[in-house]
Amino acid sequence: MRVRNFIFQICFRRALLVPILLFTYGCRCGIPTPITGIPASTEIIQSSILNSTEPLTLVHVWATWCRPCREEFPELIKIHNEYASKGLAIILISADNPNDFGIVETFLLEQNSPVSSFIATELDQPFIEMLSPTWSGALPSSFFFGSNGKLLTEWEGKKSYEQYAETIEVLLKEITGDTP
Amino acid sequence: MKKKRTIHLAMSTVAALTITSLAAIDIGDPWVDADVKMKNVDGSKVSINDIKGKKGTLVIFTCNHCPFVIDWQTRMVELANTYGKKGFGIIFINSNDSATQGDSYEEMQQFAKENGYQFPYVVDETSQVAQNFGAKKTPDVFLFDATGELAYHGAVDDNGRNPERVQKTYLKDALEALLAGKQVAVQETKAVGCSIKFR
Repeated sequence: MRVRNFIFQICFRRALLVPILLFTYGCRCGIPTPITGIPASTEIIQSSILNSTEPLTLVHVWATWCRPCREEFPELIKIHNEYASKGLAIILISADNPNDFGIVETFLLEQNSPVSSFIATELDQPFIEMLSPTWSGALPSSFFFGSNGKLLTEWEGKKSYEQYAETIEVLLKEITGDTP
Repeated sequence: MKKKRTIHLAMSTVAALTITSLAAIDIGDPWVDADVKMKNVDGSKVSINDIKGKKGTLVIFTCNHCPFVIDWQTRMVELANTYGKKGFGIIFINSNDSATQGDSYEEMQQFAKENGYQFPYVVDETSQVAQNFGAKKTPDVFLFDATGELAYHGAVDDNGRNPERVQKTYLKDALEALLAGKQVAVQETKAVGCSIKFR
């Protein structure tokens, strides 16, 4: 049983690695990559946050079945469109079941999302603490990280475009010393 | 020095923008709102004090539709029904705005019946009980000892999605500890849940 689990883990991780690498490579080279949901472990998500090349990274945890998350989603797209060229990266993490990646993909396409979303394969305490030791685990939640992976601020619950923009302006100004 | 001051000022502005409410009850704190009467699915009015148990009292903030609640539902009800017969007071509280899809009083009655609740499932009509507990999501477990002090707060176990892959049965272990008159070993845990739709 252990051997079978080990083989499954290896295959599963390698299978995940391909779309993640393509996604990362495509983004860095300016190649359009298909918008989709990518099942990912806590380790992979953490690595993605740490390797973000932008000065400010907004990590947003959401789910397709979460009403406030759905209501808030268009605001996030507007935020991406306004600030992606000004030093902000957005990493989406869906709390949907990884088996439902098709539902996640359909939602992203319906919303014309410019970014793909990870789908967390673990939603346990290590996942929560990887993002923030003070996060209760409630959805939706947003976390702002500096380029060194340092958590700058966070909040729980739905927010407006203006609330996101205000926080991003302050943080980018603090990090870069310039007004975005 | 000037740069440092600027950063501190900026961070204070961000802190002001960040809305985070602190947990109202910490481990070892006495329960709150124990005398608040809440409408049960059987039509009666019940408070936490009314149902408190000799061994301890289990309060779970929950609802009818959250996928995380559904994932843990069988395990939560099984523990509640089992330990309700072993001297624990049990109460499930729904603090969601009843306008939330699937959380009307009638739907709560149906849900309790379908899931075999042998304990009160009550409406927190103003969501104030959840606010005062510091509950933010469903499911959120609060287990009090016989004196009404918080002994355990957090998740049911360490794997909501896959019951067969559970390795740590946090709530069961905490119930067993109180039953044996011992201190709970793991007093606080966390898991992802649906935000409570506060009124």
